[in-house]
Amino acid sequence: MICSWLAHRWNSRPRCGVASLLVLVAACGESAADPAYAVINPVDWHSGTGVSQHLAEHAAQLLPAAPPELVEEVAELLDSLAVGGNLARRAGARLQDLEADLRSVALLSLVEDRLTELGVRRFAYAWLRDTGIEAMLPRLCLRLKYEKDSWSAVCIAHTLLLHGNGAGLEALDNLLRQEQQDGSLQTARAYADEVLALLPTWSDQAPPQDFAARWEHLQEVRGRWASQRLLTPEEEQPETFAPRLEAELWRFMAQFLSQPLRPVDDARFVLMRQRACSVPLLLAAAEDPDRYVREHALQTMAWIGPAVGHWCRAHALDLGAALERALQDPALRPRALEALGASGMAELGSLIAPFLSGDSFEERTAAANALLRCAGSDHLDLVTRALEDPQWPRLSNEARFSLWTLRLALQPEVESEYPVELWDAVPETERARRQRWSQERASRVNS
Amino acid sequence: MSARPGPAAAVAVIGAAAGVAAILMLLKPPVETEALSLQTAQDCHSCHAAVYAEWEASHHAYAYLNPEVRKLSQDFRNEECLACHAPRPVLSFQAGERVLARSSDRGAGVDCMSCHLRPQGGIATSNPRPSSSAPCQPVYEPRLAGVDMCASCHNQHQTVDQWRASDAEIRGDNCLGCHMEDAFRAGGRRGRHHGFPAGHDRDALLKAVTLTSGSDADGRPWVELHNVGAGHNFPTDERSRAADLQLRWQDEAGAWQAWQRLHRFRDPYRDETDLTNTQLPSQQVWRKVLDPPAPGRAGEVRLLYRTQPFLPDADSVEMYRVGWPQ
Repeated sequence: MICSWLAHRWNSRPRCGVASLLVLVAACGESAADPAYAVINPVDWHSGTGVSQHLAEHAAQLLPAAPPELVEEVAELLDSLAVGGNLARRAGARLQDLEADLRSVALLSLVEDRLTELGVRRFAYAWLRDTGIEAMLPRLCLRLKYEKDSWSAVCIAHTLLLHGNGAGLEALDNLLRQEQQDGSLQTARAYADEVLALLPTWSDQAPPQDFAARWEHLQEVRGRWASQRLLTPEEEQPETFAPRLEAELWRFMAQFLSQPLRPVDDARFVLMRQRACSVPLLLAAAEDPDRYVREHALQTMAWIGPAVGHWCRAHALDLGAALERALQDPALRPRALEALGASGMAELGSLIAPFLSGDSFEERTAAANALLRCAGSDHLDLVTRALEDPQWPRLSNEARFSLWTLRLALQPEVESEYPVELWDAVPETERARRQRWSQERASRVNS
Repeated sequence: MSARPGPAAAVAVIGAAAGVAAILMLLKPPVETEALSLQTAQDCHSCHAAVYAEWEASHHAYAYLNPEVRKLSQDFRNEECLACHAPRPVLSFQAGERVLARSSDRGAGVDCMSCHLRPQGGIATSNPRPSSSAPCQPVYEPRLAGVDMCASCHNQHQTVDQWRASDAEIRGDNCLGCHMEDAFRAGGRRGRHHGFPAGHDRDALLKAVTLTSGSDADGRPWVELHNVGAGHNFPTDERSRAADLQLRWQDEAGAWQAWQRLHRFRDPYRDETDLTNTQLPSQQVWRKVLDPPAPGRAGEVRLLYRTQPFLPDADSVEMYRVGWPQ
């Protein structure tokens, strides 16, 4: 205590009596304290269950590693399929005889190996589609990020759809929008058209008969997947994942601990593309003892967006209460506010609103962004005060732009424009991001 | 007879007086003044205009607005890129650990706050004796000059690991020797230059490598690229960075033929499965003996630096050009 007080004095006084000071410091028996590095954090996170512990609990459910000799054998069998005739028949029979888990992991290893030849890779994707087990889905989903072959991308989308996952619909959409017409693309487009015909329909809907109708149907299913992580209006939000699938998702969640970014990116990519019963897993991870796991779990929830809100409503889960501890931690609070806002639940507006005048600049920005994404017209007064009251705590340009965008959305009848200096001060990318959020809220309100 | 006090006694009296004065000053309660609440780089501008100008012209300031970055990140729809292009204060993380993205003032990229804002508020400085009268009340922070400060972002592609593995004489004590050289400002005050010269700065590039040429005993021309000055690979960091050696010969009529690529130094993207990492490590030499189309034919080799591999020759930086006959 004395030493830190002396250290403070050392920094704030002229350097006379240096020797006396040194003697006094030495007499204290400890060196002058360095500034603290730790983030001030009133929440004790160490009591939470860590992602490693979750993973350990699911260890028995995890997919085994693929033995290299089996991967090699499966590659040769797939190669033989291309030859045709008896050799192909025997290869097919041998593949069928393999134990389902081992076959799936060997096939996954092949599609994950960047050096696997295209022909073998396509056969591997087709076998995963026809025989793969459900626990392969997270790893297969990750192939959407890396697979460049269009036919293979359609095959991934098809396989995911067969398991009730619409994460590949975006790849179908992208492919069908391409105007280029080379040979391999034609094959992939023909396959994509077949997959469109397999999209689920619902009871009051006639199956689409031509391409135009199938395209329209794709957009409808895509929209539902994006906002609810469901494919049809008749589906119910599932409560949980199958245990083996959940185990594989925890394996990805553990990648949040990584210091290199790529494993983190991969995990976020996969986790945000699962069905909405990932919400309880992400909420558990948001209480992890590790700061990075907490941050990335909340970030993933924010990227999933309104589907989190849909799942919470379906299961009567109070998201605000679920994120109470995260909101108490100043370092994590902005990410918690993002997750709340992105859920699109208007009822969370009153929980978010006080943070608009919160302690930190970053927190106020996060609150403004969150309000833009979920708040209703009952917050119009607050927004107006924050924008116009000179005594209001300082807001970043991004925060002000969010609030302006929200005000315009809440008052469509009022002709108004952004102040020029604000428009100019916010980078185009950030303006576009807020316009997207505004459009999302408009589509929610309209639906 | 009274003895007169000698010089030793006078020194003792003065020393004692100084000691008492020092203790009295220490015991006097400090006048508490609240440090300025700083939230954006703009807040630093009024007091640190020269440093601000250096930073404003740097690629740290450009980290978010750079069109190449925007294109590669799909206008930051790939939000994972935000962590290093608009980071929260690095000091809010453990030394060397990666940073996370901030939500405010992203257009300022890697700004003053990214390096100088302390987690408990207030400003950090690498000056061990900071001014007590400065409105921002800076506090000495030894981490600020350390390698781990840069590693949070720049080791994502192993640049700091390469530096750690390099020769001690070349690498120096930290990154600052090459990327934050001394700068002398108004009043002769010494500080560090905040322009962070690196791959976008031709002078910095020229310090990293040398290109030499000659002819062997058989009269065949050779060319050598030597990583003499970088304490890390050349090029390093982003996988998009490439350095190309190009070769051209004169034809029989003495006209120059088109440039052909002789060698590319680059760490490829993961999906470039046909390529291997050809970066030139610190202190290493790449050498090639050339076969001219005819003995004694005039030829040239030039070294082009590209911030992305598909950048046209005309937009790349020509670092060196050597030729034969010499």
